[in-house]
Parts: sequence; structure tokens; C-alpha cells
Amino acid sequence: MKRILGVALGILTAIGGFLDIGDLVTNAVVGSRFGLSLAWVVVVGVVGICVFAQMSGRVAAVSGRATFEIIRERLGPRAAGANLAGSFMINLLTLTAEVGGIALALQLASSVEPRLWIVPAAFAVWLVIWRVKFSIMENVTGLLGLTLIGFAVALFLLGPDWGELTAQATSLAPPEGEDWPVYWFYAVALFGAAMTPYEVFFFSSGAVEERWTVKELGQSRANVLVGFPLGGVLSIAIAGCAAVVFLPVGVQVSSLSQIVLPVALAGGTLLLSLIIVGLVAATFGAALETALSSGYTIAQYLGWSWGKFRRPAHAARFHLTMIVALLVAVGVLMTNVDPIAITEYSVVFSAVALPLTYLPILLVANDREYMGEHVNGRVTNAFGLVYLVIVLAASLAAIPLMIATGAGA
Amino acid sequence: MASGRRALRRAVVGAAALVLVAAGCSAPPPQTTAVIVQDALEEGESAAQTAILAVDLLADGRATVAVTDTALADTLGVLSGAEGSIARLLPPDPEAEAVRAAGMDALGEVTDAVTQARAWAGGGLPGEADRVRADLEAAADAVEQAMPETP
Repeated sequence: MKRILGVALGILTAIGGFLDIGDLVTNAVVGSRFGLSLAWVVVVGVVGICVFAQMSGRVAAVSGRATFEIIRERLGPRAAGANLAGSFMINLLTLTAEVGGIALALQLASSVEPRLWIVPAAFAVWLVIWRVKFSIMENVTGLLGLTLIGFAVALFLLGPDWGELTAQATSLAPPEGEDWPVYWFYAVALFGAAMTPYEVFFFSSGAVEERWTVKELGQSRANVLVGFPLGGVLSIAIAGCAAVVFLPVGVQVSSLSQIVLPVALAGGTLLLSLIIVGLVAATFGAALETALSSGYTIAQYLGWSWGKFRRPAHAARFHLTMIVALLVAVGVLMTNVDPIAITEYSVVFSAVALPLTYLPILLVANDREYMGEHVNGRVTNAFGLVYLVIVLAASLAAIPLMIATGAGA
Repeated sequence: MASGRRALRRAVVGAAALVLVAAGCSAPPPQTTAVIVQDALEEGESAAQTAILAVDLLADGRATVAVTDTALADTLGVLSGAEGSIARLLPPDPEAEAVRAAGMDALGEVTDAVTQARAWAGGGLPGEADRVRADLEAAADAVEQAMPETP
């Protein structure tokens, strides 16, 4: 019974923790401009993150070591260093976007200027990382994030023309008035949002934090293979709400406040309040994960003592790295830069950096020295290779598409 | 080993050059006054529609004051950006100047209507939801009429 509850909790937190500011914004923007014609990208992205997250979780559970420790050992300090530099910068950008996202979500609850929320939000993130147990932190934010199911409820309550939504989802082409380069730009952005690199760093390091072994491989698979796809369904629901309410009247989504209006229209203040709780939880949870990932990657690469399972005094440089990363995020946000713009750039640059994250994981997961009998099977490798090609294509196309389309303007 | 490293470096430089050339080749052409005004007015129309929805939701008791106020404040941010992009234009002829001026006027009308809507949402103009909504709709119509024809 305890085991079943553990699996259920893991799945629920995986659903609730799946969405972050990048998913929220990108799906709403795409829904308002392209309807559900890019829903297929969410499906492709979710399958991809499932393939690589379960791979990195398995590596951590079998070897007892997290991704970056092994990447450095396996690829050598130079290649791993280049990998670290790229991944760390993207992670920092994502952390900045998430802290900005918390401030924007709190503005929806309070009407108080987001800049006034940035410092308290970053302080709260630090405090939780410093004081709260890993499992409590993960479960509370994940479970509160589950209230984002309200987007799926809202979509049903809006009473859309399901035939029209299905037609959009199966059209695989931009609607009238939008052109192909912009369509592909947003396809890359959605893919980057679904496969954000920090998710695998956090997943593999979290497995070590929670002392997973091969016995927990089943639970790890269930979390990923059930939780993430259901999180993907919520992504599509967000796009669906925007497609139903905004697409017909030509509204272009450019702020978090717009994303919640269809929810208010469908479910009134009760559903709206639940969604705001979910937005705060999702962005706060993702800020915790990205802040931790900044500490994990640097500490694992440099061989420092790391992990929340250690007292902060015994992992001082790990904690210092996270504090510095949070201070940088606060510094950037206090320049009055638009957090939504940072989010939009972070998902595109995530797409650029994807090969840096996923190629080493695929290599390590095939190394018998680390994995023994738990190396990738043929099916996983086939998926891994196909995704490597997709990831490479998205990475190469991201910058030219961004320039050609004026970042999707 | 050294030649392998050289080859790798050449490959990386080659790839980077390819990306830059591709990016350069695909840079968009300069836009005309009409296209820039049209883009700005589309943002203005989107802002007006967002404001109408936010006002309706608050009037019907389906949204909180904080959410409506935030949505309207964000809308003003969008309008400010749209007005800025038109204001920075240097029209090459009187015809283009007329397009620019019409665009500015229409966006100004939306900005005024959204400002009024925000005052209403904050309780500054009690009991005038219908008038606030009518002003926003009129502003949205003005934007549509100011929309220039583009090739």
C-alpha cells in the first residue's frame, strides 16, 4: 500500500511539476496564433523528455551518481566543460524567467507591481532550498501545481467546437495570416519548452538526493511515463483555451494575465483562484528546480560536495552557487526587463543547447562500465537516436528562424 | 591528435559560419511605413479586445479586481510599445505620414479607453461598466478603420 501511494504521489507531482513559465507562456502564445495546429510538437516534445528523463533517472539509480559527474568522467574535462558552460547559461536564463514568473503570478493575486515581488520571491526560493527537505519541497510544489488541471476543466467548460479543435490539431499547417517560418519558429520554441535541459539535471540529481537504486526503477518509469504525458495534456489544454477564446478575435497573447482570462470566462473566480495558486506553485517549483540545477551542474562537474541531503555547511560551495545564481536572476529582473520576453528567449535558447544535454546522456546510458545490465535496450536507443536527430535539427534551426522571423513577430 | 583537434576546430568554425550566413541570408527585408503601422494596429486591436474581455469578466463578477487591473496594465504596456514603434517612423512622403498619423490617433484612442477602464476597475469610476465597454469597442473600431492596406 505504501509503495502504491509512493508511486501515485510521484506521478501526481510529475504532472503538477511538469509545467513551468516556458510551457505556460509558449503554449498560450501558440494557441492564440496557431490554434492547436502545433499540438503535435507538444506530443513530440513530451515523448522526447520521457525518453531522456527515464534514461537519466536510470543512470542515476544504477550508478548512484548524477549526470554531470559521469559526463565529466566519460567525456573528459574539456568536452564536459563546454557542455557545462552552455547548459549552465541556459539554466540561468530559465531560472531568471521562473523567478520573474513567480512575480507575475503574485501580481495576479495582489495587483502589486511585479518588481516588488522579485526580491521576496527569490528570497523564498533560497529559504526553501536552505531549510526544507527535498521530498517535502518536491511534493508540495508538485501537488499545488496540480491545480493547473483547471486549464483542462476550463477548456471543457468553454464548450468549444471539438470538431474545429480536432481539425486544427490535424492540419499541421499554419492558419491563414501566419506564415511557415513563424510556424516553425514556434514549433522549435514549443519543443525547447517541453524538453528544457534542467528537467533532466534535476531528475537525475533528484534520484541521487532520494537515494534511488535499481529497485526504484519501476517507480521512476511510472513517474515519467505517466506523469509527463499528463503534464503534456495540460500544455495542450492551455493552448486550447487560448485557441477557443483568443484566436477568433485576433488577440495575441503577450502576458501572463491574458493566459488566465479564458479560465475566468469558463469557471469564474473560483477556478481563477485555483489557477493562480497553480501558477505560483508551478513557477516557484520550477525556480527551485532551476536554482538547484545550477548548483548540481557546477558542483558535479567540479567534484564539490553537493546535495540537499547534506547539511548546507557540508556542501557550502553548492549552496553558494545557488545563491549567486539567484542574485544574478534578481539583478537581471530588476533592470525592468520583461520576464515574458526572457521566457520566450529562454525556450528558444534551450532548443539551441539541447544536444549538449542529451547526447552525453545517451552515451552514458549505453556504457556498460556504468550501467552493467541496465544499458539502453534497442527500442530506447532507437528512440534516443531519432530524438538526437530532431534535437540537432531544432538546435541548428533555432537561431536562423529567430532572426528570420524577428523572434516570431 | 593535434591534426584531429585542428579538424574539429575547422568543423566548428565552418558550422558557425554556416549558421551566421544562413541567419544573414534569412534576415527580413526593411519594412514599409504601412506594414509597421499595420503591425502596431494589430497589437492595438489585440489590446482592445483583451481589455473588453477583462472588463466584461469583472462586470460579470467572473474575475477579481487584481486580475482585471493586471490585464489592463499589461494592455497599456502593449499599447505603449505599439505607439512607440509608430512614433519612431520617419515617413518618406505625405501619404505615408497620413497613414502614420491615423495609426497614432487610433492607438491613442485605445490607450485612453483602456486608461478609463483601469480607473473603473479600480473603483475610480463606479457603475459605468457599459460606458467603459462602449468606449473600448469604439476604440477597437477606430483601430480597424485606421488599418492601412498593405501589398
